Amino acid sequence: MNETIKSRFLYMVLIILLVGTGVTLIITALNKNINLYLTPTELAQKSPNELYRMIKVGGLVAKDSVIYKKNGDVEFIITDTKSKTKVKYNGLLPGLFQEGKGVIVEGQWQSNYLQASLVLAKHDENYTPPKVKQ
Amino acid sequence: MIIAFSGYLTLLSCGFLSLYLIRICRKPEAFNALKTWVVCHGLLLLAAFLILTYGFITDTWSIAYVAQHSHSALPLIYKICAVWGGHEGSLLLWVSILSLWMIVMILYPGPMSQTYLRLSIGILCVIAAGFEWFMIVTSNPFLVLPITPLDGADLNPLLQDPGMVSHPPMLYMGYVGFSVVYACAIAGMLSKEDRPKWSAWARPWALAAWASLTVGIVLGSAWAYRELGWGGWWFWDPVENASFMPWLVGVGLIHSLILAQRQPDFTHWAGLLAIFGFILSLLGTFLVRSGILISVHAFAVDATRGIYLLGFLGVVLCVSLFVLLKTYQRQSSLDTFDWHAKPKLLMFNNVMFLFAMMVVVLGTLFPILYQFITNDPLSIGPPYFNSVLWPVVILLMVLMGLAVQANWFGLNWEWRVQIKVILAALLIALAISFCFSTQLHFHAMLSLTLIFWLILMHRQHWLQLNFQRLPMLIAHLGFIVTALGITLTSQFSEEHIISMKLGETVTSNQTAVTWKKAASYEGDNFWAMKMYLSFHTKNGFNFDLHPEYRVYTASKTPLPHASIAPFIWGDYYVNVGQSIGDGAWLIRWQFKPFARWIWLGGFLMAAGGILSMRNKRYAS
Repeated sequence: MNETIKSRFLYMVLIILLVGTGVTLIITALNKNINLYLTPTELAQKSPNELYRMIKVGGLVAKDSVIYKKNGDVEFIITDTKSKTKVKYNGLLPGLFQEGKGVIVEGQWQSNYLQASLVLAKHDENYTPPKVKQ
Repeated sequence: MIIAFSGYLTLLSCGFLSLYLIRICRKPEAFNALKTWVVCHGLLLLAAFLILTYGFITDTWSIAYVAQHSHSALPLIYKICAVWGGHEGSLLLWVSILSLWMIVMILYPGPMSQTYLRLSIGILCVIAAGFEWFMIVTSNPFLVLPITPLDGADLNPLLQDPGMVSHPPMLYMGYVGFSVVYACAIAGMLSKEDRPKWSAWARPWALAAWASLTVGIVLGSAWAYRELGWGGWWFWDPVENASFMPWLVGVGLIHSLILAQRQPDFTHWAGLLAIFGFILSLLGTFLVRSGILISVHAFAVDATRGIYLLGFLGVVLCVSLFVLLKTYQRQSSLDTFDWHAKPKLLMFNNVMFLFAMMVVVLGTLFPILYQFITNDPLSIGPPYFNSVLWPVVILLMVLMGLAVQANWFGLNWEWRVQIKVILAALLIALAISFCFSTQLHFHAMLSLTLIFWLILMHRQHWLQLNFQRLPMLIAHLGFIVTALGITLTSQFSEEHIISMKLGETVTSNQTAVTWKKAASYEGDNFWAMKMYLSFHTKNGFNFDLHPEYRVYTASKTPLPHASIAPFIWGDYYVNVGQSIGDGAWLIRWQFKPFARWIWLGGFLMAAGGILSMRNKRYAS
């Protein structure tokens, strides 16, 4: 075989292999890590078998709903004024977390509450998650 | 009123001056006038910037932008920083820095030819005019409020940090620097006689831009680590990604510019990377300022601005790709299968960095596009980035190790020597890993082995200490140091959440924490509860830490202030949580091994870049 053609062929194989691996990596990772973003009302309407992966729920922290337990366990309720979602979390709540203010919670749905792995409060003190505002 | 009026007038004259500059760039006989007017343009923008700063210092609440981002109780330094705390001021900073880059370029052009210089300055003027008119039409920082408020709305407490002084300007230096590189590349493609030379001319500018961006990212990461209070240093937040994407392209670019001087057919490849770098810098501006993102950084919310920036982006992309294709001459370098020669290894490095960039772009833009099409928001979790980029970084490290030993024609590979090197690296990695944990982690072991393998692969360079290679060595050392910091911090961190009352001692993992004293005090614009904690660690270190629980008075926002004991071998990081009743408070303390090394490495990389700017080895 001609040296030039052989070389180009080998590079082509190499490129196809690399691109293939890369695309596979991206698709598997995307598939595992896409989180749905819901309001408490939307969450209430979903059937449990739709909620097998991580979800994010945004809303306002309901007034007088934050209960601290032992060892950093905390429970609170987030609301979009129509529905409520109970959240359990172990850890320190972020700095800007306040009752009546906006919050985004990421976690796994456990049939009647959300086991949060991440709680985000927002920079802006007037922030409300966009869907709740409407 | 006078301040707002004079500011707006200055801005308006800048807008017209940049249009005039575009006109006279074309005329060779007007070169001296061009020089003068470019300097004047810079001074005018500086004046506009200073007028706005003056408005902040003097609490001029009649200006809407000042009223939205400042407060009378704000310390002076943060009043000055508040100038770039929002959308309008950030844009003003953007163009001011651009005009600064233009002045430096036209006064110190190095070996550039005059035609080429005029052309690149012309391109920069078009960009400057675009931004100035965008400001004048849609986001005037000097807009006057109909009713003057009694006091300002305050700067966001998270932005009241020393990081705010240096992080945004450095980051913008980098972003804007990429527009200079872009102008160099486009001008190089457009002028026929300078086409082979532009890669050498653009190199120092690319290095300067990339180094500034590196410092900007490092400062931002260190700031987030200190201020957000989770002890995390990177969150894959869209705005962090926005600065990371041009950085990745920048690494590819500075390597391909070396390559382009040896193999002219890579000049176009470098041009493509320069275009990407600029587009991504614009996209960065777009992402932060459009308000599309639900992000910790998006403090501006206005869709029309986003659409304007997106349009600007589209036009730039189409025009530059057209220029690139129009001037492309086909030359194939794939005709010999010499994959182990330096040019090919550098080419693979470029491909990997581009791939990494696309992974980040996809992860950042996919949720936005998805929401745009279906109106349902979703988000992509950090594990996506970590799991895809980890193998990429591993492969990049392998390539780096091979490339530093290869010469331009191939690699001198002796298995007997190389196996010894790999074994040595493995042993060091095992030893380090056992210092932290008796279990073996696959990820940690592979990364550590590769890191020490890299150090050993650079061995000839360490020993010879060739002066011309020194910048490269420093930058590569920076990469190694950062990689080591990231690996150790992410694999061997400890985290303990404890509830404590005053006077108690709580021991977790052989480290005893005692709450000795509590005190409250008032700062300029906040009230704080300060805890006095003393630590006695398992290796016998004693130190005190003072985390605070602060409430900012103007906006009534609570914000804990972390306290960190920094050691070269790791940080102890303490944060106050909430009061949980009965005088008990939640406290979280973390041990972050080798956390400082992440940022130390970043500074080393930037230093390598700066030193390399004047490297004779690559000068034309």
